[in-house]
Amino acid sequence: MLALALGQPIVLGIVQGAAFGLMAIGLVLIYKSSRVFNFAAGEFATLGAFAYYLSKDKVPVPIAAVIGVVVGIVAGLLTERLVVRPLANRPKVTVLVATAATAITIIAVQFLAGATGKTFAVPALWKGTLPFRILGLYVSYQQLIVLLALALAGGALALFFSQTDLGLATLATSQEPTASRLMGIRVNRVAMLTWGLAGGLGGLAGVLLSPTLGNFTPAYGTTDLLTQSFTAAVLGGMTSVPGAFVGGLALGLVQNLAQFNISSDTLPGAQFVAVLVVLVIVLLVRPTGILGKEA
Amino acid sequence: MALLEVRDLRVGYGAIPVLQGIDFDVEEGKTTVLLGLNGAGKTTTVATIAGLLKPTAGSITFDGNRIDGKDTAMLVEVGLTLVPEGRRVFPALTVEQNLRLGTWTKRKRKAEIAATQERVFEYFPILAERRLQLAGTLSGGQQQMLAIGRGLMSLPRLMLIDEASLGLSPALAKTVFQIVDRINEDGTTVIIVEQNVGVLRHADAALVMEKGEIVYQGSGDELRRGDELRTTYLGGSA
Repeated sequence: MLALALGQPIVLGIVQGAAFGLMAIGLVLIYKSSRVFNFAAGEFATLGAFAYYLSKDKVPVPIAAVIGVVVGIVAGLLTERLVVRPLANRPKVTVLVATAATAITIIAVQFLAGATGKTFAVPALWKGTLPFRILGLYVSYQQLIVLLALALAGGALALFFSQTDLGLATLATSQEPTASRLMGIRVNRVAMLTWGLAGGLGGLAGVLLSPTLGNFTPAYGTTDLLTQSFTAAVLGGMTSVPGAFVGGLALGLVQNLAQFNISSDTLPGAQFVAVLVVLVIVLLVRPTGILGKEA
Repeated sequence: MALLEVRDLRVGYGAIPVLQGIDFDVEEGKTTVLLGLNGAGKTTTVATIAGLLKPTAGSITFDGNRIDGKDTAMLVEVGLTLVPEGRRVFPALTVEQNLRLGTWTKRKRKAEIAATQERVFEYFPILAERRLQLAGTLSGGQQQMLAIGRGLMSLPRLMLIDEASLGLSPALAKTVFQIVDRINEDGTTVIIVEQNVGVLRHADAALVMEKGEIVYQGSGDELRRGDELRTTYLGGSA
């Protein structure tokens, strides 16, 4: 009984939260480097999931997953080159609207390609479950992979920002683009790097979460992941990679604990209300978010 | 041959012309001061030399090579650095990280960078004391020192410093100018953009700008000692 009330939502919450965290890190990267909210991020995930789905029968599943990530990277790079860079001297709100238009365009292409109303089943990267229970529940290898991916991505990016010249240049560009140019940093290249990374993280989230859920629908990155990932990024502080990591996990846990323990008769959509309540509390107590600093 | 030669340089913002065809030379090893009132075109001049703005006509030659319209990163690589107006330090990074970013185009020249950092800390001991402090928490004067130090870390042959004394107390401005003298004595050619005529004491050559044109070129001493000249070209500020 306790396993059902706590164990299942905790395990599912952590796994789902890990996917939110991956996308939230991508959002934070873009925000840190260009102070833009990227509304196209959800569709980087959808494209990653589609690439995985379309290639899974033609190549081994791990290769299909890599293809999904690469498609996410390409989507990020193209968005920077074709949408963001031409608007570099326009107000940030113009760029924000342009990223939303990019998402709508990608969704429209999915519908035009005949995906309307369809559900796409995707296999796990690694089938089976761990040979032992956690909190009374079996945990699948797929769920474990999602967690490991988040930990690796979060750790690698934290090292990137704190230990490498390129990471430092990325932080500098977000704080003072003109001064960065005067240091000889090629700001456009840094922007491409961050958009490519963010696209890759979105693609990875799409590749990992869709098999965890068993299937996905067109535009699922925008409808199922984007709002939660934005909330996770804001919870974490919007400029903090570890914050996005923590924010994603917290969000996944809150959402699943509420969903499993508050019946829809008592409070319809309890999981969304719970997320909103947590967000408001965190922002009231700590307006900069859980780890709101440059990190 | 002059280190920097500017010929008939014209720059505009959209259809509005700002520089109306200016000519001047900067000799290697000297300190040149670019004076003028607000809106005279001083910042536009140094921003164009540093590659932040593209000229509509004219030429800029650095060490014998045309550089007008070139990418800022390439100009830093060849030894031309601008310390911008308003300091523009990276506020959420430490003093040490700011200095490290100054080395971006030369970051593989480890020994020279280490020696230059020692030199920066010798010029500005306060930066050594506060090397782990976030730049945004430094005072205005300390941020100016950091901006100059960060510029030095790029190992420049020509350093352009825009409004070094802006917002500083007279005593602090004097200190900054004295350090600029030492930087010049140690081999870096300097162009200082200023509204403060007190800088003339530290100048080998002076240029005065008015409405996008150079209206005076001569020695710093000549302009400093000539009351009539100063009143003519710099009005009440003289």
